[in-house]
Amino acid sequence: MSELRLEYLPVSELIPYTKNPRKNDAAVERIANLIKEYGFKKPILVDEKNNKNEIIAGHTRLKAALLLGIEKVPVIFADDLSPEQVKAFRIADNKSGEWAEWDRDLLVGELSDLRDIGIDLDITGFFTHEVEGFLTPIDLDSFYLSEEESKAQIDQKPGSINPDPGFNNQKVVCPRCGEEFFA
Amino acid sequence: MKLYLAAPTSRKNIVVNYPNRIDYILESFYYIKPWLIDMVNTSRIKSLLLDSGAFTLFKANSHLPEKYVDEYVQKYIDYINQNEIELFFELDIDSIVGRLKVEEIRQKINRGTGKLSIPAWHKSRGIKNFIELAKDYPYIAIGGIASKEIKKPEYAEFHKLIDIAHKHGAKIHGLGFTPLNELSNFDFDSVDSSSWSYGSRSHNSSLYKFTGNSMICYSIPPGRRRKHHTIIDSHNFHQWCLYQRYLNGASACLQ
Repeated sequence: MSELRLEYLPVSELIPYTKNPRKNDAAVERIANLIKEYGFKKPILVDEKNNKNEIIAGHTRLKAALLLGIEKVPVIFADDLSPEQVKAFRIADNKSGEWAEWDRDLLVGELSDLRDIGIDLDITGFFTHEVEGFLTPIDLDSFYLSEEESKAQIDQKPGSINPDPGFNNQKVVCPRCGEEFFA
Repeated sequence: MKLYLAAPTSRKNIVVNYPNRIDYILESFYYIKPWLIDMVNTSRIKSLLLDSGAFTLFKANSHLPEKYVDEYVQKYIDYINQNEIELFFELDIDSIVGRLKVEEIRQKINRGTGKLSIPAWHKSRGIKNFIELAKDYPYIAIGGIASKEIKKPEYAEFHKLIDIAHKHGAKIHGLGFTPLNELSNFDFDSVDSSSWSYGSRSHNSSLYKFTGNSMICYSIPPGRRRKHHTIIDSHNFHQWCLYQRYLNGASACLQ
């Protein structure tokens, strides 16, 4: 495997792939904000072997650079891929972001840490309402009796059909599938 | 994507007392009540999708004579006309009265209301029929999801059906299609769910939380009982209303 070569190239020398299947206009401003905050830390990947300097991955980053007026950006070169491999990798690289999932508990921990030290969480890429959703824990005690209270309640009403106070024995039928249940 | 919250009349107090506008509600003609129509007429509900309720009725009463089917259809037509309902399903009771009768009923409803009903396609009708419906109707639906006539491994086929519908300019509704983690993978124009009301089910008491971009479902903690079903229902309904707004592309409004 050849080692990656990194260079800084003028943005005018980079060629966007005309059939790039990603609609990225809505993401440009957010990426630009990331670059403003942290610098251009993720190079653009271009094809060197087949179509010189045609972008394989990094179209949004290029648009963000143009928006910010950046003249040169870091670029890495793929010089070992066939045209077919480039075409497939261009899709796979975008798709691969969907393969991993968030560990919600760890994410909440990380977001909480950032919030506690005064970092504006918008910069993480999550919307405000998403962050609020993550960081506002659900208070189970508002909805459920404690185990002791639950046990005491069952003990108080032995023999009843269903002593659960949240259960009123009203029959409900799902209008679509016909499933019957009690509410 | 429009997420219609189904079975509102099963929790009247929750729906009536909800302080915000509700975007999309689905109810069955079998269960619908005047108060729900009032909420639509006073814009407290933005859009009502009416299901015929026929499957429930006739499945439970398979002995009902054909005359009764016709009477039910006429009542359905009258109700749609009297209440100026814009979106309503056909009677997808193929398994009870046969496909020809279903098509006859559909035509009768279309003539009687002067509007096109939403045909609810079932797998048993075949793909050719689906294509015809997509050509002829501006809004079609896929049925048989909640009843598991279409099983999970077959969900990938929805992509093809959705593409066919859209290619012909038809919107498409996934009846009862609400797997929480898969909604965004499918380009349905609308779906519906009654999951918000499940918090009161004795065997499946669930608590939902909208996280800002998804829903989390919490099961009842072991050894604990609900304080009261109304507390859970009210909370769940609000969370599903937020999810409804999010799916409809109104996420910016939530910020």
